[in-house]
Amino acid sequence: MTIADRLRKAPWSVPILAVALTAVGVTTIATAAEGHPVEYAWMQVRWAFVGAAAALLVLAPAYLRIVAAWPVLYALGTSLLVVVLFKGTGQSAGRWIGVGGFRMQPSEFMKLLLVVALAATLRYSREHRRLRGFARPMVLVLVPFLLVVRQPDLGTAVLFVPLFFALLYAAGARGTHLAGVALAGVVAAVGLAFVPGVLKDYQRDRLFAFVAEHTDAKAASALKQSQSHQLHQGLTSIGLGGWTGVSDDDGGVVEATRDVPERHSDFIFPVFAARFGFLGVTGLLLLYAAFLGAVLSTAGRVREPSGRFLVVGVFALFAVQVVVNLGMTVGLLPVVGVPLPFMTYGGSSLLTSFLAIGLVMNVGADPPIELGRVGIDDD
Amino acid sequence: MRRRLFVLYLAVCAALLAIEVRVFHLQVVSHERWVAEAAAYRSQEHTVAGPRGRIVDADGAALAEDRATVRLAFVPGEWASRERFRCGACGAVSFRASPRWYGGPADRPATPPRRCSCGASRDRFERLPEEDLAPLEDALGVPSGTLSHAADETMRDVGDEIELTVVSQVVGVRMATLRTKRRQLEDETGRPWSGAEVASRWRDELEGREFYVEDARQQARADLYGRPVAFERFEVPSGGTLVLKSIPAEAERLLELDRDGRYRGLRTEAVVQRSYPRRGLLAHAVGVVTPFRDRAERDAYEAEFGKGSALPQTRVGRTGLEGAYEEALRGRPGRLRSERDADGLFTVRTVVQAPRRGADVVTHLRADACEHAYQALLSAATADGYGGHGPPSGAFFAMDPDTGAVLAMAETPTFDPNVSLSEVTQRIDEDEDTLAQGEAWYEASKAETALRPLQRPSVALSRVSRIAVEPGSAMKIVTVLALLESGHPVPEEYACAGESRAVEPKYPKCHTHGLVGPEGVLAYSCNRWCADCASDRAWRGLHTTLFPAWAQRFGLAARSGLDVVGEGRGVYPRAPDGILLRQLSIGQSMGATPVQMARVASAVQNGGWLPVPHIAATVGGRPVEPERVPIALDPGALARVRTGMRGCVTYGTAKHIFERPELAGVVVVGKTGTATATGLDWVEPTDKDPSDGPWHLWFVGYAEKPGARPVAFAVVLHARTRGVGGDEAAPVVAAFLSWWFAS
Repeated sequence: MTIADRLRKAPWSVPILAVALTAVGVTTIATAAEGHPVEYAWMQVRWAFVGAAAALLVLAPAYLRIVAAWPVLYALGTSLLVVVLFKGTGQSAGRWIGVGGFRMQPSEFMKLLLVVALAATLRYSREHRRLRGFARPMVLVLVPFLLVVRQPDLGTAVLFVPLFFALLYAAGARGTHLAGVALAGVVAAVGLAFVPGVLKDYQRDRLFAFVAEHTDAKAASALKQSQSHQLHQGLTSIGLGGWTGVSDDDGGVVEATRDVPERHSDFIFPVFAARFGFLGVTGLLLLYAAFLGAVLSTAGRVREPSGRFLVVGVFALFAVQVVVNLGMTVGLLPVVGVPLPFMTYGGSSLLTSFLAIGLVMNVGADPPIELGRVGIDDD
Repeated sequence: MRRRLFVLYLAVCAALLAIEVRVFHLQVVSHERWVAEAAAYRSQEHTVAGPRGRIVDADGAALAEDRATVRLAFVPGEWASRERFRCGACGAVSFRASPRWYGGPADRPATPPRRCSCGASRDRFERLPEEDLAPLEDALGVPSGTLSHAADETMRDVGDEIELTVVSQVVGVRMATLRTKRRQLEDETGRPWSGAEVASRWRDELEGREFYVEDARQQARADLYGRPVAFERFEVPSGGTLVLKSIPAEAERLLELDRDGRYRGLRTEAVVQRSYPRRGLLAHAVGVVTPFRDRAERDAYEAEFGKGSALPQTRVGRTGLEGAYEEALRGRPGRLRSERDADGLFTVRTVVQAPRRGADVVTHLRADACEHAYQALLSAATADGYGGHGPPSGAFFAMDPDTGAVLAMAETPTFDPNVSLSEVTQRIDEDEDTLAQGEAWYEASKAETALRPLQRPSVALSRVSRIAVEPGSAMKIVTVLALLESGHPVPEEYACAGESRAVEPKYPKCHTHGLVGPEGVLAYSCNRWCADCASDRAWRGLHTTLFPAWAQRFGLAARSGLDVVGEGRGVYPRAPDGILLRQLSIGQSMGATPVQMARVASAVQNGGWLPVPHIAATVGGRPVEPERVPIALDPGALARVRTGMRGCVTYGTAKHIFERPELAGVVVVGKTGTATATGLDWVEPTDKDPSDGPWHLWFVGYAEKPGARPVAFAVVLHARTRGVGGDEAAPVVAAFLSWWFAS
């Protein structure tokens, strides 16, 4: 099948909605970075084109060949994560490595590579129906998880965890097993949070501060002054939006969001909410719901297991990022560095998102018929 | 499988719904709250100190006032962008930022503007040489290179503050924590740590947040660069420190006329300070203001004017009139709202509540009269003949014997409250503690013999109203009145043993004079008459209660009610025995202030009451009503006392002193005093007879002239090694009265 055939057969609702979200993101970034010496909106547009080109590249080969290459891809991804620990930008180990004139964030790509690896691991297996069958996928997740935590990039690392559960759940793992593992994971995570060296001080402070805000008025006040400055400014900007957004009479959206840290990046949502108000936010959430629905409906049409898992993995990847990012900016979840897909400024993030879109289109355009293999239950 | 996918989708939709509900709450339900929060963040209200009221003399001359002075201020943002370029086409001068203050390399010069407002391109600009600060440094009187050196040091400090602010904002560490960390690092390594070095300890947390970091840095830079800072203390390049609280007029002129920006970064700034134009004159009476002494005082202030109203520059009246009329003089703070401009700087200011000046206090004092009294006092209280610690010491006090209005006062040594405030207030606190301990000791010990409270006096305490010393023979006014009014027989023709020690009891010695009665006692100041009468065996028992009662009646050992903070009470034993009675009768083993002794003289003059002295004539336009404490005095006894005191001036111990043409028609009535200075620490302890000096020399009395306001006065010269009250203290009064009645 040629790329033209794939383009013709691909589920276009997914890329159309993704482009719509990207357009919203670019205009919001333009607002957020107004007055800033760097042209972030224009740079995001360029990354969007690069992403579209990358999506076409992903569309070229049959997705099964990509799945088959998972050990190479996984090894490449983890190797890059190791390289980051030693060659990362900045004075200490950073999250980026330089490639030519650009910087790339391997952990962003690792999210997608992990989806491929898990899809390949789970596709013809029934092991995960038993508890011990969790071991292999768990190891696959833990290796990049620990490497990313070590960078430090807790926000990206925690995204690997729901990916693991979503794929296992879709693959038919028992709910009780998943709940048990989740509980054990929470206990282990809380325990590890107190182990010196596992978390950076500021990461630990943010987590504890989030808990304190909901349990202690005094702590909430202290939080407002220190760790939650970012969150508080974000909430203020969202609150200012009202029904239809901040009017120019009230100083305009630039004035309303000027004090939100990282407003072009992880905290892009407060800028959007301030600009378009509750009605705009409702529209945006519906857009995301439609986008995620379109992705998942692609999975529903595919009967080949690895293709299904790939799409489910992409769905989980996007869904978790949307929920965690929006959840943290509205104060429902702790502040972690998770981007809002298609809206947050960032080349690596946007490129990964478009690669994921390309993958979904690939699967949607070319669902092979499986013969003589054990499929997954259609229960 | 499809069901599981549906469940996954439902779970995500449920999460999105929860977010939608939360957003609804934020944007619709609590919208007003966030509007208020945003407004609070964008605008800040500041307290503006309310000016204190003025203290003026009877002629309207200022004794204390809030005065604007001009000081040097430094603006970091201007200093950072003072590289100059002149357009070759139109000649306009443009300023450009030096990259080194904005994170660039130290040796990279600024680039010329891209285009001039006249249209000329970049290549038409000519770089001007660095401005020469020497003319300004000359005008300021600082060594060459001082300003550049100090400015660069300040810029480094501001840069440190910016870096720490970035860490505080981005990472969420408190500034206090960062400063503590910096001190710890400096202690550990034994070298100074720059703000950037300290900030680098948090580089992991800053990494990857460039946008936010740059935002925070820009904001901190904008805030700190735009704020003028006082430029008062300079580290001179060659070593040492210079303090420049106000600048000379020539420097002010140079800066104000600096149209070309040669001294860019440096400017004048008007500040309000409490000023005392008469400097040391009346320093004790007017008093001083200080910052809040403790938290309780600060809390009380904020309870009155609202939370946050207490500012670092807020001053509280501590002593003298400043303390006594603190409530009236205190200005009401105002509120100023600052809002962020388009650049995020708090430059848009609105007065929410204008500060209100405190009420003025107009005094009865005349500064020129006080100046004359001070000069007269200085001419008598010379270093030559002073036998105590520190500089020569003395005090003069004059009041209206009828109303208690304080007409003049002077004392030496004094201090300049404009320049030595912190030192003086510290001394006041220390000396007050010492005196209070002494008085407590005196009260507890019932004061059998010694006069412990008279500790070594400091310049901070008023000789007029705080420090009490033995009045010596000036006390005989009270002694004679008490004995005459008691009805006990007193000798009318007393043969005094004079200086002879052969006559029992040996103490005290006396002058050589003829037979004396009560009038002669006051005129010639006979010690033995007083001592013998006081300790007469027949009446001694009664006198042990009579003498303290009469001291109390004349307001001794009690505060007079003078309207200053820090008036002393003096001392007088409660239950004296026979020996002590002999000493008390001649003004030893007790202590009185000039204010107290002038009240005694006032009572003799008016014959019926003790006036409560008050310096203030009006407070906030309202007159201060005179207060009188009635004391019934027998007219017969009073007449004899007046006769005796007049005799002191005409033929007694102060004869000839007031025989001046300026005092023609003036009737001066007074009593001299020469008291052995036994108070601890006035003089170094010696083995010699205490009666051999040094002595406190007094003259107490009043003066009247038909058609003129009478004056009651008291003057004391402390710890003199020679002379007597009549020769040394009375001339001070004579000089003052000569000017007073002539004016």
